[in-house]
Amino acid sequence: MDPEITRRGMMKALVVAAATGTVGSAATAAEAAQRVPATQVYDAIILGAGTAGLVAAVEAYDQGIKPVVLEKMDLPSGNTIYALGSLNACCTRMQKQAGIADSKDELFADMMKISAGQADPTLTRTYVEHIGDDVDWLQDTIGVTFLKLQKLPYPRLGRIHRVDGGSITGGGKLIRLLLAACKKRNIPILYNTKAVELITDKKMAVTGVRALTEDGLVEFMARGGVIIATGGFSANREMLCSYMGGATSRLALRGSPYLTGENISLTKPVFAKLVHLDQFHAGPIVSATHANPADALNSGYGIIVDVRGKRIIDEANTYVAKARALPSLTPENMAYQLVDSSWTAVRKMVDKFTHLNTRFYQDDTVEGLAKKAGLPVEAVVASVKGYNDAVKSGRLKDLNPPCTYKNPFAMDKSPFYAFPFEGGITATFGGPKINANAQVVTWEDRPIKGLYAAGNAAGGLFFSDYIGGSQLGAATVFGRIASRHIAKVCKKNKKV
Amino acid sequence: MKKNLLAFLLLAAVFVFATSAVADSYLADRHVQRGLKCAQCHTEKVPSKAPKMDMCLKCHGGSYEELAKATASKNPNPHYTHIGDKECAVCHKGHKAFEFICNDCHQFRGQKTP
Repeated sequence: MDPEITRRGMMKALVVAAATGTVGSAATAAEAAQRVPATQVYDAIILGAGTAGLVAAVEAYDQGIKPVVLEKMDLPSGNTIYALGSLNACCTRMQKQAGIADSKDELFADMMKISAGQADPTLTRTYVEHIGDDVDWLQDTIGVTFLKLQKLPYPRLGRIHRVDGGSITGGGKLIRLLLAACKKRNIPILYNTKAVELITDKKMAVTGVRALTEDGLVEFMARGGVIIATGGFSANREMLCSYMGGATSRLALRGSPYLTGENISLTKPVFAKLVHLDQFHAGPIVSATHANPADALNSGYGIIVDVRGKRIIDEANTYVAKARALPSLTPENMAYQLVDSSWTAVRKMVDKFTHLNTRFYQDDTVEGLAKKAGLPVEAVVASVKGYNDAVKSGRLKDLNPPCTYKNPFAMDKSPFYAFPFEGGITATFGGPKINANAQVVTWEDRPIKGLYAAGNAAGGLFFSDYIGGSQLGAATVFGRIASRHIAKVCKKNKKV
Repeated sequence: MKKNLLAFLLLAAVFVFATSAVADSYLADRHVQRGLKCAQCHTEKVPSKAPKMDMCLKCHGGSYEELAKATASKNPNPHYTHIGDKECAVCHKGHKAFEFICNDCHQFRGQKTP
C-alpha cells in the first residue's frame, strides 16, 4: 500500500479524533461508512485519464455503453500533457486536402523499418488501417484543430498532424478538449482513484478492479471489460533498473513523474504476456528547468563534449541515440552541445533557454566559452580544433569517436554557444501484449477475457524507435478499438 | 460545543506554531482582515481542509476561464497551463506562503502572488 496515503489517512483520523475529543466515535464511523460507495458497476472501466483513456471513454459512450474513468492523480497526469501533441498519420482528410500522396502500405513499411522489423506486424497494420479515420475523428468529434502539415517526421512525408495548442503544449490542449468531450457526455472521471488490483472470476476472466479512493478501497465491476490506459513505467526506477539495467535507470525523466508501471503490476498476476520491456524512447533534457535542447542536438552543427571537455559520441546520431547513450558514456549523464553561429537557428534555442531560465553559455572565443561554462579550457579547445581540422582535411571519420556528418560545417563563426543537457527517458515501450482488438493476451497468445490495454500501457507496437507522433496515434487508435470491442461484448451479453 | 472549541484552539495552536512571525500576511489572514469569517470558506465543522476551487471562484473570477483571461499577460499564464486547472489551494495556500507549483519542474521568474 502507498505509504503516503496511509500516512494521510492516519493524519485525517487524528484530526477527526482531535475535533470530536474522542477516538472511534460512533457518529464518525457512520459518516465514514456513508461516504464509501458500494460496489459500482459500469460497462467499461478505464484506468488512466490520458489520451488513450479519454478517447476510449468518449468512444464507449458514443457506442451506447456506460464508461467510467479512474485516474489516480487529481488531474490527467500522464505523458500527453508534456507532449508537443503530434499524431503520425496517413490518408487523413488533411493530407488529401494538402495534396500529399501517401499510402497505408508506405506508412506500414516505414513503421516496421524504424522498429528494426521488431514491431508486431498485426498491430502496425491495425495502426495504419485506422489512424487516418481516427485523426479525422479527433477533428470532427473532439474538436481538435491541427496546425498546417509540415514535411515531418522521418521520412518527411507530411504525416505530422500537430494539435494547435495555442499558448500551451499541443498535448495539454488535446487533454483539455478530451475532458470537454467527456463532460459534454456526463462521463464520470473519478480522480484520486487508483486501481490496485484486477478482479477475476473462476475462469480468470477480468470482471473489474479494486481501487483505492479517498474513502478506502472500492470495487468497480465491469460488464464488458477493463481498459488499462495507465501509460508505461518511465518514472518507476525499480522497474527501469530491473528491465533495462542501471544506466537506463539513471536517465533524467522527461515526462510525467506518475508513470509508475501499473500496466505491468496490474496485469502480471493474470499472466499477461509482457513484451519489449527493455525498450524506451530517450531524448535530451535539462532536468532543473525542463528545457528541451533536442533541436540543437539535431541541428547538424557543432560537437558534443562531456564535463572533461572531450568528444564522446558521433554527433551525426539522432538526438534519441545520443541521449540514450549518455549515462553509459559519462558517469554524470551530462554533456554540452557546442555550436557556433553557422547554425542560423541558434537564436531560437537561445530564446527558449532564456525564457525557461536555463543556463547556457555564450562567448566570442572557444576559450572564453569553455571558461564561462566551467569546462577544462585546453581540452575543449583541442576538441574543437581537432574537429575543425578534420572537417578541412575530410577526415572526420578518423576522429575518436568518429564523426559521420554527411555535410559537416567547421566551427568558426562567433559567437560560440554551449548548451548543457542530460540524457532523459521519455516513455517506455514495453507492457502487456495486445492483439488487433486491443485485448491483452496471455503467454500462450490467448486473449484474456475482459482485459484490454491501449496507448503506452500496451506492448508490442514499438521497438527501438518510433516515427514521431505514433505514441498519441496509437493511444487514439487502440483506445477506440478497445471500447468498440467492449461495446460488442456488452451487446452480445444482453442478447444471451 | 466544548469539544469543537477545544479542537479549534488545538488547531489554532498548530497554525500559530507552524507559521511563526509573518502569519498576518497569509491569504487567510487577509481574508479575515477584509471581514470574512472562517466558515465562509471552510464548510466543514472544524476547519481542516483547503477550500475547493468552486468556493474560491464564487468571489474570484467566477470561472477558471475568467481567471485565465485576467492573467493572460503573464508568461506563462498561471491559470492556463499544460497541467490543467489545478485546485486553487495548491498554489494559493491559506495558512502558508504562496507556492508557485510551475517551479516544481521549471524555474520561471517574476511570478508573484496574491
